[in-house]
Parts: sequence; structure tokens; C-alpha cells
Amino acid sequence: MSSVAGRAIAIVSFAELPPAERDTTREEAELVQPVVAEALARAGLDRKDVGFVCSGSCDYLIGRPFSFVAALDGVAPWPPIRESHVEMDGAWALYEAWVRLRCGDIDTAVVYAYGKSSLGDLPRVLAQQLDPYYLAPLGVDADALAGLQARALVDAGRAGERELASVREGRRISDGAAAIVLAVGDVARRLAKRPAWIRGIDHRIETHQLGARDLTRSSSTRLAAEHAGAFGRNPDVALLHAAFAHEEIILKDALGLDAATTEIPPPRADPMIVAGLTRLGRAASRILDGTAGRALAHATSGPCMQQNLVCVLDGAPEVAP
Amino acid sequence: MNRCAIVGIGQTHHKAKRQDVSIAGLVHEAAARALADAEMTWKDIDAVVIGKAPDMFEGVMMPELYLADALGAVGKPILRVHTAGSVGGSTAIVAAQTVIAGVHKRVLTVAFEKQSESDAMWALSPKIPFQPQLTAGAGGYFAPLVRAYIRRSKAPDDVGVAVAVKDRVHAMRNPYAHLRIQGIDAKMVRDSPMLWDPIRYLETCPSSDGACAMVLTDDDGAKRSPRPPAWVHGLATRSEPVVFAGRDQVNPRAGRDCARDVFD
Repeated sequence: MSSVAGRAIAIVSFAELPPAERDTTREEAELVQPVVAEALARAGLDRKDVGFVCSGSCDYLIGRPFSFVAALDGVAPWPPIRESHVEMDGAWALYEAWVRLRCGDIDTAVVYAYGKSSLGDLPRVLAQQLDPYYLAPLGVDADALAGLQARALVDAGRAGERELASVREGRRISDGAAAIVLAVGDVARRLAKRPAWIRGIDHRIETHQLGARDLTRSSSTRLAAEHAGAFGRNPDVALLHAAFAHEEIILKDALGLDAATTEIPPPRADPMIVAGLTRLGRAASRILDGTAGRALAHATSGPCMQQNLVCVLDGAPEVAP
Repeated sequence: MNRCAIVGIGQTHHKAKRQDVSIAGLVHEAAARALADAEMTWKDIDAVVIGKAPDMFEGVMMPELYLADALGAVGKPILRVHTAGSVGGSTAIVAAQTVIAGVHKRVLTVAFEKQSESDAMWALSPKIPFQPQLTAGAGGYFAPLVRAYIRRSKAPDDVGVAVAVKDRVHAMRNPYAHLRIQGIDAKMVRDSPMLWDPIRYLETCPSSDGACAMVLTDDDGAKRSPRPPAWVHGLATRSEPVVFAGRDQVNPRAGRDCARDVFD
């Protein structure tokens, strides 16, 4: 998915709160304000010069409807700002901001995500994502479903049980926030020495019915990667949104990642709804700091990674036709 | 920038309780009507953008996951927009922007609620820790602002009634509307119970189950439209803070700035 000529879009800064297992002192606006302020400061951008703000968060996670409305005070939206929100991981908020920048009338955007999973029993809260008629009544929570996927992988001979012994490393209840600044063309070059250019970004979803999916493969990750132009050149580093070891195996397979040529940090839990955006930010940071020339970032959502987003970042923008 | 055209629309019958359909059935009904109106098929759609208000209204978290199949989105990008009360508009805006930006050529966009699955009034009146429960329902929140507006603008007391009558009369022309009240007039509205002064029962939005869908395309799609397409000429959004001394909720600056932007 190439950029419109002359409007290459880049990530120019990233900031994240150190994830806390349980933050008992901060509400939404207080999670958002420090990360957005830091991301803007790193980019040397004044909040009044930001063209568009987009966030990702989840009411159910934080236990309060319209939570993202309260969070908006964290970006001090005065005078009133162009703003939007998706009830999805911040990675999808970044996608919306990327689309918005491609409309051509603005040059900068801020994306943020925040979440406080500690306020509930996360695996049970995630069970609210399930089809309320056919799946939810089965009484399975998200960890049980992940276990089903891990079992399917073992039965398919693609993983050993010992290999997956670290499964419980996975979903840790945690609270946090992250923010990214995006900019276009020459503005990006002014805000960062080595902008992380978005060479491609795409997301796809699979059927919700788990019995109709091949849980040992991530077809939507593969499809998103194809459309994002991820194949054809190995990235120097790939940051995958995998909470469990078996998810990492499935994603590496879908993305055709060769551990010999690509650095793949091990799976780790990050605050839900923030974790995907964090992958994008950390991948961009490797380009921003010059330690990688090409990076791939992945984000996932839904039971057994039903929906996936892939982003290809590069130290060089696409050559404009 | 590309142009964006609306080439098909579809609505469900809006009712207090659509007990004849699941949530998936509800959105599918609207989407299928929009595709039929556009004389297109599910296969023609590149991406889906859905939007709705808090998930507590149905009790399904992040419903794009559950609804992907019902909306023909398997193998496609699907986004779910949530901007609270403005979500119907902002969903269409996000969908249109994917066409304007040249990311997609044919987009299905759907907004919906199946509020009978929960109690919407209380779902949007949560008890927040350390705060007094100040409002019950959307009307409870807006009534003081409405009173302040009437006082400031010196609007006649019955201006809300007049608007309600206008809307309900127009609804008689839409077979899908929730409230189709034969013979509605100002007296009928004034005689209905007062809920939150000055907002009366018949001035209030009913709690509905319903969905509305549109098919948006670029110029190529517009050329193939069976009827004259409706072109999008302007889009704008503005947000302002929740807690801010400079805020005027009776005449919001965000509203004024947004209106100016959309016409410019």
C-alpha cells in the first residue's frame, strides 16, 4: 500500500508509560497527558500545531462508558481539535490517523492509547467479545481459548509442549498508555533526524466462529502482510503482538520471518489496547535511533488473534513517482 | 484527494425491541438493503467501517469481532469508530476518508444499536467513584443546557415542541422510522409527560433497536451507480475538553468551529 506521491507519512516520535501491574493513582486523562506531552516534546511539536488526534481505548476494559471522552482532557483540546476515536487497540487508531493524513489537508497527527486492565478480571472481560448467542454461553474465557489454540498447534506437530511451557508468561494484568506522533514529508524530516517512514500498513479479520478457523495459521496476518508489502525483504527487527509463545510461532510462520536475519524480541505482555500501538512505537524507535533500517510491527485483537494489523517501517521513504 | 460518493443506503425497521433478529441479523439487514440499493454485492466491498456508542448498550465488547461475518468483512479491513453521541456522523466521516485518501474504492459503513439488549438509559449514566450521581439519562445531562439556551436566546418555550412535531411528521415519510405517530401535533407533545424540564416524553429520542448502512465509492463507483450519487462535499469534526473553565456547553465553540470548517 504505497503513499500518495509527495506525502510519505512517518512516525517521528514515540513515548510510553512504564507499564504498571496496577496503577492506583491515575485516571484516564492522567495516563494520557504525560505520554502525549513526552511524544510531542521528543518531536519538538507544539500541541497547537497538531492537525489531528486519534485514540484507541476500550470502555469495557476500564469499566466506564465514554471513558475516552474523559481521557481527551489529557491532550488539552483547546482551541477545539480535529479528533476521533476507535474502540480498538491504538494500532488501529494509528491506521485511522494514517488514512486522515493521506487526505492531504494536514501534516501532523498524534495517536495515543491507554488501558487499565487491572480494574477487572481481564480474561473474563475479554469473554465479553464473544458472540453472545453461541460462544459466550460456553463459558470460555480468553486464556482458555488461547489454550485451545496452543493445543491445536501442538497437535499439528508445529510446537512441542516443552516449547510452550512459558505460556503463562502471557497475559499479565497491567495498566499503561502510549503515544505516537506522525508527520508527512518535509514536516517529518524537520521533526526527526531519521523518520520511521510507513511504507505499508494494512489490517484484516477472520471469521469469529472459532470452529471455522484453522487456529494453527494466522491467515489474516498473512493477508495484512501481503497488502502492507511486508514480503520480499526481511526486516531487521520484527515486533510481534504476542502474549504467548504459541502465538509467536503462528505469527512468525504467517509473516515468513527468518529468525536468522530478523531480530524478534520474545513475547511479553503489555497493557491491553496499548500493546499494539506500543509495538508500532518500539519498531519505529529502532529506526529513529538508527539501529534498524527496516522494521515490521504487528498488532492483534480478538479471540485467538482473530484480527491482525501489520505495518512496515523503513528508514527511507518510498521514492515518489 | 479523491471524491467520495454515496451510492446506496439501507435502514432496518427501528423498534423498541427487534426480537426477531440477533445483533448480527440487525446489521446484516441494513447492510443488505444498502448493497441492494447500490446494486452491488458483498464481494464488491473492499472494507467495512462500523460505529456505535458504548458497548454496554448491547453487552458485547468490541462487536466488530463478532459481526465480521454478518457484514461480509472476513478477509477485509474492518474498523469500529466510537465517538459517543456523534458516532453515527463520525463513522461515515472515517469511511468517507478512506475513499478520499485513496485507500479503498468501495466501502460499506454501518451504524447501529440494539439497545433492548440492555438498559441504555442507565448504561450511559454510570456511577463514577468519588462523584455524586448527577444525571439519569441523556435528557438529564442536557436539560440544564437546554434551559440555559432558551433563557439566553429568548427562544419561545415551545420551540422544542415545534421541532419534535416537525421530526415526527417527517418520520411519517420513512417507513423504517421508530416513531410514526399519526396526527401528531403540538398539543399531543405538550400533553405528554415532562421527563426532564423542559424536555417532554414525545420530544425525547426513543430507545431503539436499529441500524443504518451506506455504500461509499470513488468516482469509478459513482459512474456505475444506478441512481444519481450523493457527493460528499465537506467533512469536519471538532472536540473540546470535558473539564475546562473556558468551555460554554450552551454554545460550544467546538460546534461553531466545526460548522465553519465543514462549509469552508
